[in-house]
Amino acid sequence: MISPAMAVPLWCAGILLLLFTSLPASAATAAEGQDKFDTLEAIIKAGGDFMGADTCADCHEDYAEHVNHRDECETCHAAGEAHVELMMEDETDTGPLISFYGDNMPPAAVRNAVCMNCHRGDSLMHWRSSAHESDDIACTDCHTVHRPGLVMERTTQAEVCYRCHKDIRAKTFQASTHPIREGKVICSDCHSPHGALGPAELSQMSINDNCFICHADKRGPFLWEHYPVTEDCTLCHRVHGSNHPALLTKQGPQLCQQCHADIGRAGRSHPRRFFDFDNPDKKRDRFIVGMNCANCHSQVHGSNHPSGVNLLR
Amino acid sequence: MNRQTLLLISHAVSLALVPMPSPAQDEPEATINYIELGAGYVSDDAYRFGRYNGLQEKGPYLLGDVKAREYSEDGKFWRLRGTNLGLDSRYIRLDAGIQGRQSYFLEYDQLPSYKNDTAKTPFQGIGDATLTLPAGFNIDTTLDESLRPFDIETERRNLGIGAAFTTRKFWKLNIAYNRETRDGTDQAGSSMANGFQELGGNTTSALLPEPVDFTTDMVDVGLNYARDNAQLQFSYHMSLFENDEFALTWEDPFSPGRYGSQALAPDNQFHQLALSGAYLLPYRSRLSGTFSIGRMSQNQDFQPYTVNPALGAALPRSSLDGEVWVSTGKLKIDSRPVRKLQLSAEYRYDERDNETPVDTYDYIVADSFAGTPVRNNPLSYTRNQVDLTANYRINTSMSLRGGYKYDNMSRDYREVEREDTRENTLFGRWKLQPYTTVDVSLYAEAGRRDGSNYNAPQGENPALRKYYMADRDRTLLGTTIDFLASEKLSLSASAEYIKDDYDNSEIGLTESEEPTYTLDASYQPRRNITTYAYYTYDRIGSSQNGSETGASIPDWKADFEDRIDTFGISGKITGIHRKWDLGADIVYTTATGSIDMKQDFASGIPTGQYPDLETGMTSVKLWTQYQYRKDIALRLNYWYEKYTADNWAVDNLQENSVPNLLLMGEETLDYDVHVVSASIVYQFH
Repeated sequence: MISPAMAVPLWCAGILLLLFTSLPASAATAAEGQDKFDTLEAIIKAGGDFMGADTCADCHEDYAEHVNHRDECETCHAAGEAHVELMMEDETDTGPLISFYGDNMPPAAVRNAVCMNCHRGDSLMHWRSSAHESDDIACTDCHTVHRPGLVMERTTQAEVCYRCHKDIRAKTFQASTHPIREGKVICSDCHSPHGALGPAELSQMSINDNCFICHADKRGPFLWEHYPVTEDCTLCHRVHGSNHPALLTKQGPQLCQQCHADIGRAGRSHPRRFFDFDNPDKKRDRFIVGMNCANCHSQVHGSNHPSGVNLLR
Repeated sequence: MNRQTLLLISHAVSLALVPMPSPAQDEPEATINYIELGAGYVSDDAYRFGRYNGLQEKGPYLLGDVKAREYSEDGKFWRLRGTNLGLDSRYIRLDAGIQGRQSYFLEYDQLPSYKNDTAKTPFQGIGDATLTLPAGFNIDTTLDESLRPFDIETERRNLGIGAAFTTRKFWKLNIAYNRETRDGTDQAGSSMANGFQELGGNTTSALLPEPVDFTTDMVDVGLNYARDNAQLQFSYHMSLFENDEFALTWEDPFSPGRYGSQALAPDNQFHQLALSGAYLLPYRSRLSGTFSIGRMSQNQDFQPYTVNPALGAALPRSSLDGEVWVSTGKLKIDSRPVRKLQLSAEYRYDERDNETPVDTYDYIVADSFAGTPVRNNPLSYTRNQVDLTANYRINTSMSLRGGYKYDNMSRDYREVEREDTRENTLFGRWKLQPYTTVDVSLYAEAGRRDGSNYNAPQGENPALRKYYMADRDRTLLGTTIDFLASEKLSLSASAEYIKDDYDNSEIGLTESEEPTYTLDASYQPRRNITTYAYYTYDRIGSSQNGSETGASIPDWKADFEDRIDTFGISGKITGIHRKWDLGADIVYTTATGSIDMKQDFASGIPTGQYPDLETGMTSVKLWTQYQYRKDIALRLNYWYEKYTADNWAVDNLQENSVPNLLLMGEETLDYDVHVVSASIVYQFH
């Protein structure tokens, strides 16, 4: 069942959606005019001759200084003859030019094709049908070409990611986090935004492989494994931030009780409710405070001790 | 192209949020090299405040930051980047090479992790493999005089070096080597049993200062081949982990003279080879695939079964010779038969083949008594996943996406609870742009996980279902709306709700849900003024059942909720009189974690309750920069941060507050800190 707290905004969104869809699709008609230049081939064909960077600099002096790329303007923007002619006639339509900002941009796929003329191997091999590509994200949504941008800078990269991944920003302010605010762990340390082999666009093959890059001590293999730990670190940890210590999904002992309900063996059972409701002092039970279950079971990530079967050693 | 305009505004906002040195002119992202030197002052000792940034101590600190780059006409370049050079969180990296042909880098990164400076322990020999107690120690009579403060802290130091070579045509080779050391002291639990076979009821526990002295060496090599219609990538990853100590032995504070010993993380190795390829097919189709194989191994010498001289036996082997092969295969075909339609089909196979030898080990329980011998039980599994997705662009302002996912996990170990789990998921998304100023996305996902019979392990309640392999219905609903109200104002709202219902779990986790909403607005009244505000609501709720009697019928229930509200506002004004920049960034967040225990399951009557776990933080950053000369700017920063926390599991507990448990008496670390800094920024081209 959807909780009332959730139902209200969802219904609002649904009603808004119905309203929008019942109205004429003005956007569709507005955008139809650009269809003639929605492929790279069409733009190149209509562009005419190359004019040279000096011609471009006559009007675009701000952009003349290339610091990231050494190429001529038209290597990326396509031949400018038709564009120059239109501009000379004082047209607002920029013509068959590949612009990367403003109202006359071709579709993201076309703009991206320009970048991928050179940047197609390496990490970009997995770009096609990656999460970002499928969402029509353009290279220039994150990267700046003429000047150094935020996304390539460790201290500022996250701000670029937060433009879309807004909830993650809030998680980084929670009580227990990786040092993301401090810019010491950045999004691309774990995620590959150009597409990747791992889940959630993680750079490594699996979630755990990703965690082991920094937490190699947890890799083992151990003599006595704790199976969920071996399978997936995120079964117990919320990696972007948590209100509980050590980025745990919830505090022990209840965290452990999600999977453990000891019924006792030879009189060695644990208490199962962990405090006596009639005796408030028992809230300060040794199964609850400090490191709770890990007060004794210190080896929750696995043990290599011959007597460590119950993760006590 | 509203989305792009929104992203442009977002871009300006991102810059507003980043208090980086910039010239007081119209284009804040202008190319600039700079060196920033200065000094700051921290108003109070605040260990937690400085946990990752190195500003933990009251007093002055040095501020150093450098960003410099040069590109010559012939393609040669170098870049230098350094941050926090005067602090324990310093970072510096030098890149150099010839664009598009070869590049080299050298990097040093230091990261503190200051956890707590209020801990006390009677143990001596902190940092060593053996912890002892002072002569004549008695936990009832001499504890107070024996306690010594120590810091729970570790620090990482990471040195990296690498190179990349690109041929004029198709090949690129990357090589990187990285050494990370991590040392310091952490906190670990420990236990001793005080009565024969009375582990649950009559054990004692002590929190120990655990030595951390790790070194990890990593090598990454990548060989890439890229043509228009085909790409190939070969990579090798190596990670060698070494721990200077492999065991921690301690004197039992509840029975001085008696010792216990536990394992520390063993040395281990990981080698992985991967081969990926992609090939363009007719009809705008592309076939891509990956195969990787990795080997994890560990052969650290075993400790004896016990350090108790009265117990112990011969080990079946002197070390584990642990060996796990992990392999992944992935095949994907992606096709766009017509421009509006995108189809993709992906199959992924993962295997963990645990070839660790199986032996029978004696079991000396907590260095105290002999238990029943037991065989190790290595985990192997295979996983098969299928993902079929179709995306159809109905017109330039509307698209539909839908698909199906299948996920099968087969676990293999003795007495496995559930051999197979299978999950089938349907998902869909509707994106539309009803107006040029509005983008809407609505998405949903519904999945059902079930599998083979669930076999309760011996000793666990038969009604328990471990949640990660239990039957589960998952529902996910989400929406985002972006609205460009004017050229100056953009608004957006997003909501996501995820609900997991473990409908066949009587005991254990029975349900969980998490609604998250974010509202944000950015307003740019003038070109040089950007403002941004956001609010995020996050509630993480779950329910679980337990049985105090051990019967298969639950007799208590607990509802959990973490409610987190985060509010932020920021702004930046640049180029006041072409000289001044001003900026502010304010964040307020508060979180409450509650546990609602219900004793009587049937009536749900609440009885004795846990206190709430409360945390809250306010952060205010203000900065200004004055362009004294074309190449020199003066900068002032002020940062106020307040953090409060109440954690019932830690607060107000003395070392001996709880019977049979030796704690460290540490507190959650509230702080209230002001930091001011002044610096000179020298800018150059």
